[in-house]
Amino acid sequence: MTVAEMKPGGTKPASAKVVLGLAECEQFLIQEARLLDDGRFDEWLNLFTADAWYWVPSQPNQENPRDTISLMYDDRRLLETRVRRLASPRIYSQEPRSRTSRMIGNVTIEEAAPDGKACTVRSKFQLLEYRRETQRIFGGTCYHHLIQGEKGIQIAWKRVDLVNCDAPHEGLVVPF
Amino acid sequence: MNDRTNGKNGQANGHLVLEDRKAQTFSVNREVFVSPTVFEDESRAIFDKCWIYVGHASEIRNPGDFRTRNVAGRPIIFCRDRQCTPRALINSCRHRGAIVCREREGNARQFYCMYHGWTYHTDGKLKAIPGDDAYGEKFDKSTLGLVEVPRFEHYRDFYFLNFDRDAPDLATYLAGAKEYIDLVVDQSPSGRMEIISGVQEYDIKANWKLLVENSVDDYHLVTTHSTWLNYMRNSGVNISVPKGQLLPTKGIGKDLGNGHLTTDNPNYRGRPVAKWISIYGEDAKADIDAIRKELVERLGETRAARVADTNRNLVVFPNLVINDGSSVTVRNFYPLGPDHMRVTAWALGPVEETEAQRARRLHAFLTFYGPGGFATPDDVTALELAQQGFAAWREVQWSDLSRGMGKSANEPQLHTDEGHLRVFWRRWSELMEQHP
Ligand code: FES
Ligand SMILES: [Fe+2]
Repeated sequence: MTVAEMKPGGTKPASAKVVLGLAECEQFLIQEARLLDDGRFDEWLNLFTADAWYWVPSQPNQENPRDTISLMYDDRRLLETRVRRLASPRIYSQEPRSRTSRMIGNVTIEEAAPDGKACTVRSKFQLLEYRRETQRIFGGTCYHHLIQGEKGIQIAWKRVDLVNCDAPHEGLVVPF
Repeated sequence: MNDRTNGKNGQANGHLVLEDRKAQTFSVNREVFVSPTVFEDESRAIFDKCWIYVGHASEIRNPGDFRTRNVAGRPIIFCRDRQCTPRALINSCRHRGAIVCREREGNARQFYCMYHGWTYHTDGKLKAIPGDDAYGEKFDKSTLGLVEVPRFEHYRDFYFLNFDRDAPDLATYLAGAKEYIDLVVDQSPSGRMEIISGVQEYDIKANWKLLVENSVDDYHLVTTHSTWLNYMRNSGVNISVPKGQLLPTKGIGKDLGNGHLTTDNPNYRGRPVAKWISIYGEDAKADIDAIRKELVERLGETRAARVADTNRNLVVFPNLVINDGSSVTVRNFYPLGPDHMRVTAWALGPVEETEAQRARRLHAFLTFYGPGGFATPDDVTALELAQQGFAAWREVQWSDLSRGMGKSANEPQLHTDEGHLRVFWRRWSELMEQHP
């Protein structure tokens, strides 16, 4: 079933076009991962909507970022700060810079708007990070809420559930 | 007197901390950051002698609530027993040693050892032994409860333990630190603060004492945290630095007795209780005003200003830090070895806070603190770089903490001086030298 067909009421309007299909979403996530691996953080930031949020919980199944400490919980303004910080030569926790390699897989659409212009995508990821003679592995589940806007696909929110979210961590400076 | 230039021990006579009032220098031998012997001695001379933070009353609100944690190297159950008494029990089965409480937190009716099935009441008393007919007549079950730590006391809901039975009571020990804990607790209308759910844990590949220094070291703020200061500036906070100063406001570093110390700084960057800045958003203004109003009504103008217009980073010797500024952090850390520590950090807030107020507090907390924050990773980097430098401790033997030494006794030590850091080191050295 396509996203457009998931509309309540069922029947597919004759003119409906599948806007955010699984293939588009998967391509988008791959492209996002690529921007992050390549250190193109400004372009990555541009993927987010103006009122986007980005959340990395610190607890398994954490329900609320507003009453419980998270690892990261950025509104758009903090996300911009995060990216601006990454661009600064005085971000000493990134001297030298991390090298990262991300794999995205098991992509599924969990929920979709009736008009096919918004959906929540679940994916699995593995991230290798190498810096200062140490390689770290992160893995877990990502949720992206994607919307099809004027500027193409954008991220309205992103939640990253690390398998080891409640473990002691060293700096988490490069975004997931 | 020590020869600080060629890195030789000179006339240090085995002292690891040297204060030379004539030369106005204060030096710490870098051996203290790398030596396995010093590390061993610290656990006896410091962690077994001082009051060590265990947890906050709000973490064990209900009968049966427990938290297991490592305190000064021991596995501890911090719990409220079924009769409602807070306890610190050693989490080791009296039979043959296994950890009896295996969860990090929860609520228990009893503690059950999975090895041979001994069970304990939540107050530690032994409840039952499977097959107890195999024991002799004189075998006394009443003496085989979980062992309580020798001393366990609290000050305004902050619970501490002491492995030294003969230690002075906690209130005496805390000395001048009490006044600063009061300034934190007074932020709650009912005098009840709580640990906010969730915790940050991180490891630093550096000696634990470097984090004591770093937690109160305002000298490094501008250099290490310029990216965070940029965020403040971009958010409309006035961070301009008056001539002759290193930071926007001029604070002091204070000796609170018994090795405790604090910075005491006029606030410039917003406080949830209660100073509005633009980061909070226009709609938060009235809310912050109302918090402020309550504070003034309850405490009076002067005390309210003291609570709400000053920030403090407090060290309760040896390893508890309370940072009270744009949020309140309770930070505890332990050495895992001479060059490795484990940090645990919680956020603290008044129990009365609404969801919006809480969210504001956590927002500020996360922007600065923790592995994903905008400041902590750079602190961690600084400490790890220092630790790496200490590999040459034989060649470059002394670290310098002389800032502010040239001042007369009645001139205050600034927060950007190192007078308050020296307070820690004097006490550290005193306890280490007393140790047989
Ligand atoms: S070790 Fe606990 S019952 Fe044997
Ligand atoms: Fe710092």
